[in-house]
Amino acid sequence: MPLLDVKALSAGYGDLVAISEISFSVEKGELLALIGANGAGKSTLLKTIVGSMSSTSGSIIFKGKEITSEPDYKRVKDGISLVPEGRRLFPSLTVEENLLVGAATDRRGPWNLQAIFKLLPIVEKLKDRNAARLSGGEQQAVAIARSLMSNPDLILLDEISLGLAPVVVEQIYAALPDIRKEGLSIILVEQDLKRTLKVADKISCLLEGHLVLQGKPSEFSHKQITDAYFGHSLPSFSDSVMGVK
Amino acid sequence: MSATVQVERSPKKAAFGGILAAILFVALAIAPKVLDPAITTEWVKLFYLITLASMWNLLAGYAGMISVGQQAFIGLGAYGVFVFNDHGFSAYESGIIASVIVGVLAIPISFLAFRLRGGYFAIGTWVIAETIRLIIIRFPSLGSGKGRTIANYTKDPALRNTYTYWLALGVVIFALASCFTLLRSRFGLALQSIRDNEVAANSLGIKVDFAKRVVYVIGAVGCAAAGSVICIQSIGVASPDSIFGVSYSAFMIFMVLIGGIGTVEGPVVGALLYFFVDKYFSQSGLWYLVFLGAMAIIATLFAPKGIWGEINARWNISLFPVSYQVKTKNVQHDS
Amino acid sequence: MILLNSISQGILLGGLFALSAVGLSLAFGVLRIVNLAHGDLMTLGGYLAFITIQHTGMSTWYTFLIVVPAMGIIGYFIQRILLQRALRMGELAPLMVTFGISIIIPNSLVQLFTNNTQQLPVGALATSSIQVNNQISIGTFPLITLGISIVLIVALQQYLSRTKMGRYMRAAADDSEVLRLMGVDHRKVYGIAMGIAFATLAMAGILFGMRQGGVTPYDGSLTVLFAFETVIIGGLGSLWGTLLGGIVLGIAQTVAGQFSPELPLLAGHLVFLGVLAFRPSGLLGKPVLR
Repeated sequence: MPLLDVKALSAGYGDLVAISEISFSVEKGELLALIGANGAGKSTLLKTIVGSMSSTSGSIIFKGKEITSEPDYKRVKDGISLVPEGRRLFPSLTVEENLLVGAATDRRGPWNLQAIFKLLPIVEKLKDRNAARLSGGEQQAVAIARSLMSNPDLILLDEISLGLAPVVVEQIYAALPDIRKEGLSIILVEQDLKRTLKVADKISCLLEGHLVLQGKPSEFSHKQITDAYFGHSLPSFSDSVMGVK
Repeated sequence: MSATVQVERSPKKAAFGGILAAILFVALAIAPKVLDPAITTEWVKLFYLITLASMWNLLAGYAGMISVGQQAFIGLGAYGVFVFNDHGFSAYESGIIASVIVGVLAIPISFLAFRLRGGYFAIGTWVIAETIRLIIIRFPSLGSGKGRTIANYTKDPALRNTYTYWLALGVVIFALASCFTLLRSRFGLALQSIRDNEVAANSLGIKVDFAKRVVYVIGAVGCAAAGSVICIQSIGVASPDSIFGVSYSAFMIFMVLIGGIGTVEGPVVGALLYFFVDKYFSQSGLWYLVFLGAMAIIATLFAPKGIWGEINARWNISLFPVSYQVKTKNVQHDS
Repeated sequence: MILLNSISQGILLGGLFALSAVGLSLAFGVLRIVNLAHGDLMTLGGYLAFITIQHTGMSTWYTFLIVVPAMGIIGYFIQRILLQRALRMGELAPLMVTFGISIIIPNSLVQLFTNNTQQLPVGALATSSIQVNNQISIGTFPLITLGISIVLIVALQQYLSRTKMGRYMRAAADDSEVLRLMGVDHRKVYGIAMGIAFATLAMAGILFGMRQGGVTPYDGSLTVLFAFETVIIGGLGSLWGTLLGGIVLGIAQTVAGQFSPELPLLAGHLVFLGVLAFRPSGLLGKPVLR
């Protein structure tokens, strides 16, 4: 039984359909890379999985339980955690306080303050600093740490390298294997294909809200992936959807 | 097939509303000559209620400023009648002059009030009203804390009723006409963008503070005019506490929330409703106010558009349309 | 000097103003709600104390044990049922709801209890005082009030900085959506914050009633202005600022009262307007971004 099973999921904003009939699954311990251009629907998909956004149709099954109509805070207690785009730390709180709020779910697991400090010594160094006074890279480390504090089974990482210097991104990606050691499953949304493909067990590619490619990275040539990403060599995608010849 | 798109502002509805208004105006103007003074005196109250409701709606529904302190200007308008009347003007002229002067006074007051936003702005306007009341009652010539009567007024009751009626009618028409014209202008569009999102409006180059100040001043003038009518109708002010009372703000909020915020007709509907509830229920104690308070809460939570707003939304009826609509006309071509 | 005595009395009065303002400050800090019914709810607390005394004959001080938690629970439910819904409808909707409440409460009270003052006896404390020197005498009851006020502010400060729920409240003030992503139902956090706000204003309402010799239905329209002025003078976002603001307002009122019994209210308002004109972020407040 997969950890997460998403079936024909659709969601949108009013009349605008952002994601349409998306189906995929994530096994325990897997890292799924969700790739696609800007506006393809990747963030919307993550938000719909964690429950910040309601889906309009389809279903989400997590650890065998249907969670489609559960509110977001309940899904977090079930074991899904989102590291949101833009980090979104609590600016009035210190780094340590941000981490403590992250532990609100009281879930059992390997992650607590000590374990986090061991994994990311920079976070320990900053623990008494006010979260508003961190650099982008520092914020990203704290945001990931904060999500880990809830001891999730599945963590959703939304564009963690956005706006960060490459050196900093290296450091964050370097921590990934330690994070996965405990069996954590990850859905990783990134625009940087190279790095993503290196760590992914599976990839799913979104284009204009639709799933256009899915499988192991080794199954596809680089050209196939970039074509799917940009929507090349498919007859104009929207045409095919609208049924125009 | 091609489609042409037109953006228009319900020219037919506006014309209809305009004709209706003209007929009504003539009818109302000759009313004192035809009807019993007891009736037309009641209508004076209805007119100033509509005026007050329209002004509050302008502030809140179009400029996003919730004021709980308009009674400052109502009171100043009333007391202004005394000031100019004592200096030789007729009561009616005094009312008009006072209203204009109050509008000028509102400019420096606005600088103070605009230091605050949202809910704090609301209470701030209340404090300002209280401060003005406390200053006014220090003047013995204005009656101190005990209120006073107008010194020079028309002695003949029939004439007095007619003149007061015409002043009230003039005030309410002026109020409604200015709302309508203002909102149909480019200024009105700017106002609505400010109401919806001040920061965005600012970034578009709209002079937010200036626009808000204009609305604040107009609101002050309208409320002062209503205040002068209230004073003239009672030939004076019974107590400064009542004319500067926050209950006026309460009534204005009821009328607009229940009648329909953000439309020109809504305040009129709300004023009519309040007028009747007050007429028939205020004798039996204050429960009717409790009822109105509960209605205001229910309107806010469940019917935020108010009575007229819901009607407008459902059946697209509009007597005084101020918003633009996009109309598409399909033109068929033979292929 | 009479002035020194005035000032000391002003400081004591300031304690009561600060206590009354803490709830307003908390509600705004965490929920961004300005409670126009704040004063009327304080009056309601006073009347609940009066009713309790009528039915049980207990001393006014004991009524705190019943009324304060009761108002806290009322606050929790008003938040969950009415105000939470209003928050979804826009920034100004909660203001309108609290305004409606501020109409319902005093008019109902007048109908149920008439306009007369209902007694909240203080007993011997009402007149006892401590003589500091031959110029300054400090009333025991106002001193106790100041003490309660300081204890409460310290307690609330500690609650917000050290407890889990306090942290959640500060986080909710920053970003309630992300708080939900931490597994916390922010509506519960809001409810508890409002409950605490109501509990503190109930305390202040009873103490005000005790100080004035009793409660009257329309007291609320004055006390809300005092609470609000206290918060603004002290500065938004600072509980100690609220205490300072209360003291400044208190001193303004009592010193003006020396010159004429008609002046205290006006003096307080003028000080408030002065702060608004020349230092809008308040004495201890963070500068307001415009």
